[in-house]
Amino acid sequence: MSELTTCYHCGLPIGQAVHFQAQVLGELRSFCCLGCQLVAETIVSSGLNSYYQQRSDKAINPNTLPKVLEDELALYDRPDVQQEFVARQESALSVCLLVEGITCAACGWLIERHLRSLVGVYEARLNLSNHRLYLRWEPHQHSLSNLIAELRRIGYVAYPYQPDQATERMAYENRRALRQIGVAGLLWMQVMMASMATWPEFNLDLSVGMDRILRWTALILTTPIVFYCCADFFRGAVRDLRTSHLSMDVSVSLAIAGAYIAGLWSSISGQGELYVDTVGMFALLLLTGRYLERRARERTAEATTQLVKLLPASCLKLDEQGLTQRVLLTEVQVGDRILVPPGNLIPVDGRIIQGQSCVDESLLTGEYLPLARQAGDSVTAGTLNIESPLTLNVEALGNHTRLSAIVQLLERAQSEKPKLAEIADRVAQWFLISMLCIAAIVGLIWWQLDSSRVLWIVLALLVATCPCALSLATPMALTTATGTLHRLGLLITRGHVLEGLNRIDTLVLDKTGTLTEGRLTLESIQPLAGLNQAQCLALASALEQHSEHPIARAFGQSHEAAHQVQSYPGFGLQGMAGNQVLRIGQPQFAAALYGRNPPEPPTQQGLYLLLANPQGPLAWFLLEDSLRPEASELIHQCKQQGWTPILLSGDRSPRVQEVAQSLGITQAEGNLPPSAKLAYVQRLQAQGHRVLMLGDGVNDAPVLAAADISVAMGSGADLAKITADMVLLSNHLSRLPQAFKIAQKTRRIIIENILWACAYNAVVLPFAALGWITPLWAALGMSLSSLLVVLNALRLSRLPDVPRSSP
Amino acid sequence: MTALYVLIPAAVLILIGVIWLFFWAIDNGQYEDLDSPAHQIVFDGEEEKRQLNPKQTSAAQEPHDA
Repeated sequence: MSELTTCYHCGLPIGQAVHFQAQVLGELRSFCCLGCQLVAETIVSSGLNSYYQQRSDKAINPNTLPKVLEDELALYDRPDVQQEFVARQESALSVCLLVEGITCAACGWLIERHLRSLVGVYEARLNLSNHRLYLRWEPHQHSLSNLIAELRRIGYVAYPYQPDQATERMAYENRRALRQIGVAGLLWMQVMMASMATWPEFNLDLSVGMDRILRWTALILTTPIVFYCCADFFRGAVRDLRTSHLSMDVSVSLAIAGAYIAGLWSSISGQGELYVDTVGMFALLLLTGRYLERRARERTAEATTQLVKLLPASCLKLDEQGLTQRVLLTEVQVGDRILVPPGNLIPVDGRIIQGQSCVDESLLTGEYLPLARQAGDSVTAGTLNIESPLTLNVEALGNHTRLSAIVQLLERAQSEKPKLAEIADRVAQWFLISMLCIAAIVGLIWWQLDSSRVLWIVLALLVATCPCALSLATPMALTTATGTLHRLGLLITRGHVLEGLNRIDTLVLDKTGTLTEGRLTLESIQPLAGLNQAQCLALASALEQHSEHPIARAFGQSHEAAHQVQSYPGFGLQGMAGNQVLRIGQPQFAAALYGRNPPEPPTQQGLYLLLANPQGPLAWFLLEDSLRPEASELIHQCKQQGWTPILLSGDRSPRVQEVAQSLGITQAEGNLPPSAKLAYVQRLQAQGHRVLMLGDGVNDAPVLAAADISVAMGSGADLAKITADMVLLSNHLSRLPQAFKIAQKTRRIIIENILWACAYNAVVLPFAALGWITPLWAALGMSLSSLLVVLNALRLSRLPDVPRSSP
Repeated sequence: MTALYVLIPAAVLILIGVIWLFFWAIDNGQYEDLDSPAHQIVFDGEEEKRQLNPKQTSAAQEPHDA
């Protein structure tokens, strides 16, 4: 059996030779990298071996977790930073951390056990559903940064978590909703028992006194249901009536209030039918439906807060003597000098006063190649310094940076976002008006026939046709579809976008990071001297081992690193591999090593790097920001649906047209700043097009906010993900057509549900109008029609007929 | 039928008790995490087995609830 060996810890494939090994569970295991080996060794030495027996999923490779520097962690120990999220209980401190890297239940066990085994940690409790870790510890024994570093050693990253107001309110409302359901359910059971006894169908032959007692018991027990559990419906109804619009809340409130008042009247007068049990059932079904919808939304909201890191922004400030000190970004002032090490985000707008490096601006502008920057050039907050340290003079901070200009653009776009009408609300208006008309007509007719029965007939009509199934129709379908899409790796942040997807006719796409991978990959190697491809690649990757440049990552891991490697920002690298000097980089730069002109690159397209030694050129390496493999399938599918794809990119290079051509997109524009992108999309909308936007960068965020429906890539910028209606967590473009199918099906099921609910009402209406409906039939009809609607919605939990891979 | 004169108030009293219990459980966070305890029990069983087996040492100690 010659299987590809995979890392014992993270499951990534290991190359030919195994370099990292450790003893786990009595056997020698192989690892892909030092990171995994160290994590495994820590786990074993803490006696937590059985993690490896229990886990149901491989761990995350520790190298892919965000890097946090030690001195950045130390910021968490500052009392002024801590007071935001650390609580003090007597001598102990407690904090809530958000943990990243949890893949299965065994991770939770590992984290809890490892932390609890430390002296001075009193309590460590991990919530597996939202990945929050509650920690209580003795501050004299450990600093907070210490504990976070301890988590890092077993392969997890943690950030202090501070629930914002929205999250806190959500938790509070969640508890209230649960209480309302509980009260409604418990009371309804008693009400049902008491009122069933009074139903003529059971023929109990109650004495008059007993009948009255049972009626009053049922009524008294219903009172909390109406005034406590259904308060939100009434509040919603009042709000909607004030804005003179008839919503589902209005018709729900009308049915509940009607049945309750009738119950009150019948208890006082001792005659007529008692419908209060219907109120209980109605309330319970509706509250449950809304609760489930809330849970689905909450789950997505939780997932989105996890996308946004709560690291206190900090930077390295240089003092007079040129010594660095890590300070909070809020302590920096315009005119200060700061140092940005390679691999770090530039936190401010500023001018370079010392250093030379490449800056990756792809998230801000969509440009896919890093740009060389040197002393005198200005750099923008939110871009990434790649190669070597830069000293900056701070010119703008916070609200004055270019990044925040985009945020302002975004806020404006958000307020102008067209609202997609919700089917249920339109139906509710129509439904309510016709119900009221019919009730009035029926009332008038009965007035002529038998005026003593008018009140009871009209009430029975209102209760029997109360829109329970109708108000469950949409939430149930949306809840189930949201869950299914989550399994596909697509997070829905605004549920109602699913309904509007069928009205889309234009698909606007971003290039870098959306249609393409957003990073450079090695496309081909063309040897020029006697060496073969593998040998050339080995030499190149040995050189690139030391570089943080995105180009270096394209060359993969090598186990033989070159020495004396020097970086020439914007040009390339020079170093010693074995005993020969090598250069890789720009053709001119590499050719200077052997003192002749470089050979002509094979084609004009793409980024060519030349590898050379003092004797002559060795090989060409072609690097491209390659298309995602599923991109052409996505465009094809969208065209089949009749959507017009449009490519809008901030990239200035001819690559935009190349990409458009290879995908068959006829409309493509490059070199667009965020404001121009936004204007383009708003122009489309003004022409009556409905736009779906797919993007990933900060520069796409305003457009994502303005588009009728927007999807952000999971690998994209936080800002893009917050503003989008959906987030494609898996980054798999092929999931999108699948998701569109589910969305269509959702819409169909919503309509089916509504039709069914209306049909049910139409059927019972004549019986109610004739006065044949009793409370028994009203209760039966309501529960059956609601059950049908729920079961129909559950059909959405099946994934479409495409093989499903792990999310 | 006269039993109902006792049974109805009794049912109402029990109901009040149950609702109070339910509110207490919600405020106590019993419904916050419905996933972890299900897994916890599996690992705890594993832990016990290891403690019975003297060959393997258990480094993890139960935290004392302070």
